[in-house]
Amino acid sequence: MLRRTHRGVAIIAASALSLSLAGIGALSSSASATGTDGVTNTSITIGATVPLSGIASTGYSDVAKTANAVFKYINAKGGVNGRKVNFIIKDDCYDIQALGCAQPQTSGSLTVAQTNALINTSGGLFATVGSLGTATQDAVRSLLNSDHIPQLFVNSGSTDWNDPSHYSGLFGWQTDYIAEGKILANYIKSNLAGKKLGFIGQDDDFGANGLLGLQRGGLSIPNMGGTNSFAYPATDAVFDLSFPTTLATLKANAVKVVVLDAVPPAVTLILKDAAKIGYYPQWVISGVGSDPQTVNYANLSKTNPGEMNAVSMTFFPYSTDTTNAWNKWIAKVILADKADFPKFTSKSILSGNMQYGAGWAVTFLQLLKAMGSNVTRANAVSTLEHSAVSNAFATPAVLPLQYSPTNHQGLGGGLLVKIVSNTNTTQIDGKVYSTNDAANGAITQKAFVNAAVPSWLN
Amino acid sequence: MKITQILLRLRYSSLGRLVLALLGTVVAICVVLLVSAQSDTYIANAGAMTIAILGLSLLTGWSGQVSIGNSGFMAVGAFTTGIWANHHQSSPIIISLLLSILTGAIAGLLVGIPATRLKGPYLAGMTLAFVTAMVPFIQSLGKLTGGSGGLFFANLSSPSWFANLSGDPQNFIVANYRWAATVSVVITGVACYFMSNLFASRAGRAMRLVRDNDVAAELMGVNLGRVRVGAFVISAAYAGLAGSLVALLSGVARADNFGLALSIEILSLLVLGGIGTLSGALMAGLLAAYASTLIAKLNALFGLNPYSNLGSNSQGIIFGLLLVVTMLTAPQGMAGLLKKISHLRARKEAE
Amino acid sequence: MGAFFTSRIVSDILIGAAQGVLVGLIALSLVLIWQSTHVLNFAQGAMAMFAAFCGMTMLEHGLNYWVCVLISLVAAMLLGGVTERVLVRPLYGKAEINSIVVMVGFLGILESGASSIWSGMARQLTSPLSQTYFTLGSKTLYLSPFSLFQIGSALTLMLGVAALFRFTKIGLQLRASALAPEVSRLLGVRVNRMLTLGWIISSAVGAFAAIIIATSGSGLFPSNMDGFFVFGFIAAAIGGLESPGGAILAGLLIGIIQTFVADYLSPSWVAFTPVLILVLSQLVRPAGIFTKNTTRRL
Repeated sequence: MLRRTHRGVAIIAASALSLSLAGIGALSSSASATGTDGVTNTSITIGATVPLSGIASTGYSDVAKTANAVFKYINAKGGVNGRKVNFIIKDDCYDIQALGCAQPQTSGSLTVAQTNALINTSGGLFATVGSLGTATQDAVRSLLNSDHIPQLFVNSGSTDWNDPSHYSGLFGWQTDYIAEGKILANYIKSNLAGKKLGFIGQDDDFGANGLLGLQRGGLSIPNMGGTNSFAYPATDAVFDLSFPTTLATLKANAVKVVVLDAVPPAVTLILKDAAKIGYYPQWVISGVGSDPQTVNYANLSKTNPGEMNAVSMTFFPYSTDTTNAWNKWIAKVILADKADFPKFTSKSILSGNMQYGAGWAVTFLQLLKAMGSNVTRANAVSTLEHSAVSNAFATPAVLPLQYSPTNHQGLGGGLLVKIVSNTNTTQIDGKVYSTNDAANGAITQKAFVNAAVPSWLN
Repeated sequence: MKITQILLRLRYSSLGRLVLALLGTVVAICVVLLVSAQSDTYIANAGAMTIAILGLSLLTGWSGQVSIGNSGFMAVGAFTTGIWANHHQSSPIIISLLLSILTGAIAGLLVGIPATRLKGPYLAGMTLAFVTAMVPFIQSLGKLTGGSGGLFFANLSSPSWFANLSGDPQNFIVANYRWAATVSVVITGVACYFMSNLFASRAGRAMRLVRDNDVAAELMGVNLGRVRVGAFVISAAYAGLAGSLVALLSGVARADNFGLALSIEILSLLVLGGIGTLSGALMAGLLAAYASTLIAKLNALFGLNPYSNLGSNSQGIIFGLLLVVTMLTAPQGMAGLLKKISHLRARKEAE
Repeated sequence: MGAFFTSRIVSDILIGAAQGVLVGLIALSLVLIWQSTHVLNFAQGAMAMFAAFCGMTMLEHGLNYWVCVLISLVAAMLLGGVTERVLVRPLYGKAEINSIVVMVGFLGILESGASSIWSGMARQLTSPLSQTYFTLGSKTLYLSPFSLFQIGSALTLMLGVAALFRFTKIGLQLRASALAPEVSRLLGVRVNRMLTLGWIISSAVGAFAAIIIATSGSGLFPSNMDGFFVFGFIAAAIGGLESPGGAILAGLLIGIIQTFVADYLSPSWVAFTPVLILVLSQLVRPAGIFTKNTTRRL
């Protein structure tokens, strides 16, 4: 008799628990997520899904945190046109639910779950701004598109964000991997002609598109798997299972120039393993994986002095230049945000991730300003597509954005830098290169100019 | 407590369990229609987790085989649904679900036949190896499974009759969330119903006997291998269903989401809820879905910066603490705790 | 002669052996805990990582590498002992799933805890011994001072622990305390102390492995032991949880085969190799290749 009562109570309690938990949810968020689209007279709500924890988070978490610092800074000055930016960051662990991820492992895509949470923010969400990752953002493209929520300034060099006919509200921000490949190829043809080439790339679209860019830029490198052209699985950034043998082969084949389309932890491992076998080629590294604040360049030092050590491309003035106006401004903004950056001091060097976060955050502020009093999703899209306006936005990037009704990619090139050590990067020729994805697309160059920071931001 | 008495009596007959399941589902749908859209996403995810937990509950709780490979079977189900949905955009949901149950079961058979010969840590080791190989295996299938990025397909969107029914037909975003949650609740209800029947059946009793005393079971004529493999297959079928549901809810199938961490989480939730119990699985499913909100509230309570080192890791620490404390003080989980409470209550009433 | 040692095959064997001994050490520490307390320690890798952090972060304050290693080992032993007393002992005799879940919870606390204290950034540990490989003429011999230390110390540890269990009184007491605690108590063995000792030794072995892994590979960060834990578990299952020697050999086997697969087939295949080896070994001998026959027949 007693046992049956227990079970019954258990069922009732279970239902009560479920109703009360549902009640918590119901009471804490307002009835309808849409109706308003995140804009009021005094605020605008945007959000991003980024890897704050987990296997891919080292360094990347600084991107969104810097953007947050930028928004806090401008909010302290009263916002833009009287509107403060309410920026919500959600951790999606790069959508890899491994043991280091601080989010509870829900079944299914964390990015989708966190994006849903953003969409359902009380008061509505104006747009996602600065979400990070290629596969992660591919996963929510259709969702945001069908909900008519703009997906702005995706942090990734994939060309998936440049599809205005299918995804009108989707915009990238950085130079894509193909264009970067072309620019690096151009450098190699001009300065390293005749030297044997090799390639190591991640086995996803980053590596594949980077290689495509090199090929379109005129270099004859076979696809990954061919001679001196290697792919590595993303997990090797941690496990180091394939780099020793890959590098041994490259050394045995007397390859003198190696292009790397790899993420920072993988680049650190590659440099380390190469040093172990005494292999010091000229490294040409994609901007994704070259940031001196994240990669360990201790193993570069044995190359002949006077020769280039590692060459890369960056969208920003090299971070060790503390006289640069934008660098100074970014450092000022970060210093003001002690809560997110407790360890940053006036002597700290900016990392590429910090510059990146500031880059698209400032772009968003420029967009907000340009919209004036007509702050709607539709106007955001058309303002960005209005080239005369958006291409004139002053941002920390060394070149202007290239948005148009048919181009949602963003930047089209960058500055070439030479990395000598972790604390020493210098410009190679002071020229900003710019191009498109086409094999016959010309590469233009302009002298790099130290731009001023707009007064309303300062 | 007349209602309780009636509900209890129902549990003991097959028809009674059907009535209970229907009742529960109807109540849940009402809840879905009343609460906010975000709560609906939680409820929808809770359903999928509950199904996965139930599958493991059968395998580990009832047939005594500790496995950490269930997320691998969820992956099988999710990708079956993903591949099907990509090629047959307009086929009804039920076909995807059934296909995933089938492929999950087949995978369970393939893994179960060698695995169930092993005992204890070796079985766990085999399932560990299975689940860690699944992720790169799926990613290596290239175009079929979308490589390292995964498959993307249209997620559940509300049919117009439902949107009209659920209130504001203009608000299609909310209608979509409500539809997804309703679908999830219905599927979960069906899954719970079948599992409750299994628990009460002869096959269920055979499993428990094999778990507790395999020598006696063999003497009584129970085929040990068949019972063990059977439990494995059913558990994998449930996992496949859960994976399929998850894929439908999110519109995404990514191998990276079905790794070892998910298996460990399901195991932990199983024990937190109460191993071998239906109510435990339901409670644990809800806990999992609401965990991030609860912890965000805790963070806010302590004034923690959610982007700091401590703030972004507090979920991991709290969940780990919860597991440790529960195992040391209340190993029967939430369901067991509730039983104890009603024990005490009944004793008080008797005095 | 030189050509042989720098040939591709020998090079792969040397690279694989260096990786493999690390896997073998993790497997060994798992086997130690299993042999002494019949618990599957899912938090093995995380405990090793945490102890390694405690000591090796002192490098940044200028302490000598070996001093840091010592600190880490002491931290590991403390951690192991306390864990056994507080988390594991209350669960002896209960269902095995309870101790598994407790260790899983502990794993979460340790990883998230490490991440909140030291952040998720990978810390490079400068090795006190050179990691540059030797050269024979113009070819590389895939051994370096550090890798020699790695392989040598790992093998010594393994042999030492195996000898401890096989040939010493303490080792006998350790094994007896796990297999037959009541009888051992009657015979005067301090069973509880032995159980704790088993964990202490195992944690020290794990921490040593974690330090070497961090120094030779991608650095020290909270989740760097996760993959090695999986490989170590699989190696332990292959070698047999009753055999410390088997664990080591299985680890070496995995390391070497993985390197050959990466070199001759493709890096993408490396992730499956431990699984395939496990499945093959289970088909041959389900209780582990090196276990003595212990079937129970009616």
